[in-house]
Amino acid sequence: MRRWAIVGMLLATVLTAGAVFAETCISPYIKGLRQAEKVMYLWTLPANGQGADYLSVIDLNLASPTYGRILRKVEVGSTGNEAHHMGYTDDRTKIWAASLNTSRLFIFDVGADPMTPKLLRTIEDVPRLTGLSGPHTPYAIPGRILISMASGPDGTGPGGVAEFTNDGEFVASHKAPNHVYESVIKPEFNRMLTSSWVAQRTFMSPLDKWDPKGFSNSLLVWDLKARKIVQELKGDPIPLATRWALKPNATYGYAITNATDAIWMFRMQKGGTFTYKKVASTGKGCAPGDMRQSPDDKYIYVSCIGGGEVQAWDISNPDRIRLHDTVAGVVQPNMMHVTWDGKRLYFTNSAISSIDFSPRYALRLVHIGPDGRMKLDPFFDLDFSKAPDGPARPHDMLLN
Amino acid sequence: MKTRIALAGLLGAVLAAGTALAEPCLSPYVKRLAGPEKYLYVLAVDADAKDHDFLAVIDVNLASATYGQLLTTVDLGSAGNEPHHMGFTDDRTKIWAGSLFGKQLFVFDVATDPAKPKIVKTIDDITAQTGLHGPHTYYALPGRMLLTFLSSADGNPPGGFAEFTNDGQFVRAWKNPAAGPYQYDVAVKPEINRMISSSFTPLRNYRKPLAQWDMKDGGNTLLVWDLKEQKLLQTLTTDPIPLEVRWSLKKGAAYGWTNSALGDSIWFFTQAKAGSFATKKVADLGKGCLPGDLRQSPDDRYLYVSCWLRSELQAWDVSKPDKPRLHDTVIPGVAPNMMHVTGDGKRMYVTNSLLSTMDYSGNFWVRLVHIGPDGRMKMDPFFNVDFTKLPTGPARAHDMLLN
Repeated sequence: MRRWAIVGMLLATVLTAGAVFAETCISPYIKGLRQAEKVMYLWTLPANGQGADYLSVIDLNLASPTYGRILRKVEVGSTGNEAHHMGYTDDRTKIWAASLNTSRLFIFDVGADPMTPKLLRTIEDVPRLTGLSGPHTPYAIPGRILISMASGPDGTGPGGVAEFTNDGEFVASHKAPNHVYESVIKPEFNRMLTSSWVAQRTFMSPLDKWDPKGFSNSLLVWDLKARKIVQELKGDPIPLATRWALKPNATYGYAITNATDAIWMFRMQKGGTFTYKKVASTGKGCAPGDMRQSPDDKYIYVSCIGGGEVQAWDISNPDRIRLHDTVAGVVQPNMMHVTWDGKRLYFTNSAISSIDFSPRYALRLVHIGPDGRMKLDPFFDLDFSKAPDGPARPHDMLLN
Repeated sequence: MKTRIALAGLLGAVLAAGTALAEPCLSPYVKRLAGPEKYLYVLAVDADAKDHDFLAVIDVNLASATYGQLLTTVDLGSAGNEPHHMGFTDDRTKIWAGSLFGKQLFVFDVATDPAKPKIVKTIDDITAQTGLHGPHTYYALPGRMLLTFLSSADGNPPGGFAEFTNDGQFVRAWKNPAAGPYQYDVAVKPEINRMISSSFTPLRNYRKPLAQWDMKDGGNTLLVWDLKEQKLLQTLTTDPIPLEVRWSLKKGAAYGWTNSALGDSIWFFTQAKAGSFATKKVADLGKGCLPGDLRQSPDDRYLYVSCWLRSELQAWDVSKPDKPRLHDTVIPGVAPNMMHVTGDGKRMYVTNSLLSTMDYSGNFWVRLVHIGPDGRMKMDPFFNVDFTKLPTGPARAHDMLLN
């Protein structure tokens, strides 16, 4: 009996040696998934703008006969919302899904039956309620949700961060001097960073109408508890995804600047102020859309919407990052999601209906090897140009 | 200015490659593509030679709804003539193509509508015009096309060269010397005014089934020519059947490589200070490789070899040009032969027919290899143009050009 326990322990040690497990790129306050994902929730919009936007529920249980297929759609009862990003509440029982165009916020229950999400609540009139528009990323803090908002109530001007309870009661708005894109929090330092992009009226217009004068170009450093901006880090225009290194007390992280094909690095100095500098070019024409992290802080993954590839950057030496591997031949890749064990990366390929240039919508899967090298799964290929009720744009993903 | 930045950041990215690198393995005089390729032209022979030969147009625009599919074919009007290689004119508005069994030569307009090439000129009897048979390589010179021919008019050695204006007027022809009668490929290096040609086997041999070939009826020579004078300067020897001639892409570099089909080897040629060239074997590809094609990365860092017989693609690191090192291999399927590397060096298209008299597999396709930042190769798991299921039945896919 005891011998078996020892053998088991040894085996477990050998199997997990060196491995780091964490579901990356979600708020640190969220209860993380600690097992292989069984289901994906994918925030989806009909490609032709007709029919309700919906949450696709996709079977990711490898052993299931319906693996890799859409199990059901949970419709939200309205169309043209521009379904975009989502976030779990801290207790992982609810998903908040934001709409870039109508600013509606949808709350789904995924706690009662993870395979059958239910729409619990729709928050209408968000601009009137919050004084802000163009909600981008819902981000969990204890008992509450912070939502980065691009602009003022009429879709122009600077935005901010709106705060709600997990159930959907509005708490407060925190104004910002730029068009806020997304938040990332490092509780150890009581610091939150927000990145920035363009106003709602801009991002909902065709790309050739985007006026560069309206591009935001900074990260804001916030005192998290006080909800107060303490520093503005200026850099290249349109810093989108921003990721803080996962190690406890790590002082650095990265942002991708979409308009300049670059990766920038921020770092907190001893006195608490931040530096911000460009550390890599993703290659001309990449147009980076998303950035994700491996659980062990060894790699970041960048999707090149324009360049048609997913890049893996080796960040073992944080100031000198190095292009490690690519998955190429994938059109318009944008959102990605890395699994808790760092072995799989799902990606979708719709950016915004106003800027998508290819109708080849799909959800695909990349396997990441022990050497950080990536392989496109030749069998996993969920073709959203042939979605159940017509072509659809797949955007943000969450796993459960 | 700033609008430009935005466009480069997003939409412009779709169109612009924007690197300093250029499409390798084309005449240096050919205008290069400004952005990623949208169309792949594949010269093909109906597998049982019952339907006509054709030029296939494949959609390789990643953003297109019909990406990876056959868009159209251009009928060459006759069957079983073994169309093989082809080449752009210097201004990239036309493609020249002929066949190894027939006597016709076709000029396609690919500028008016790159998605729909049109035959704008046909030369019906190129052998009568040139005294040569079996045009192989179509190589652009300023305003002209230089063609290599595998045989004389009677199908026997010597082969030779013929020069035409871009619009198809015959300029002149000349034959290979007695010391190097076999002909195959040609490549020029204008900076040093040199041209090198390689050697295969003539019609009397290659039109027979492979089992009946006389393996001694082939060349082992590289000929060095004065490019401007088109005058033979030197005859070099290699292992049997040196096929592709690839000069280093570096400006002024006076060296390059060739693949010996029967020697399973890569040979290096280089010019000494005194001006004369020498050859040496620099890589053993392994017995039974039978290298059908040799391609380059745009940065001169890698050579790609298709092992037609062993069904393997090899990437050789040539950072040290005379000491190639095997860097990576990938298995693309059976009998890979022709390859085509893109201007950014990130993709390589592959076909798998060599000659109808030599092919040992009927599984014809066009496939795609991605080349990573470290020069390692990955097969694209989704790109697979199945040439066994065309409207006219199976066809042998051979040479490729991008537009």
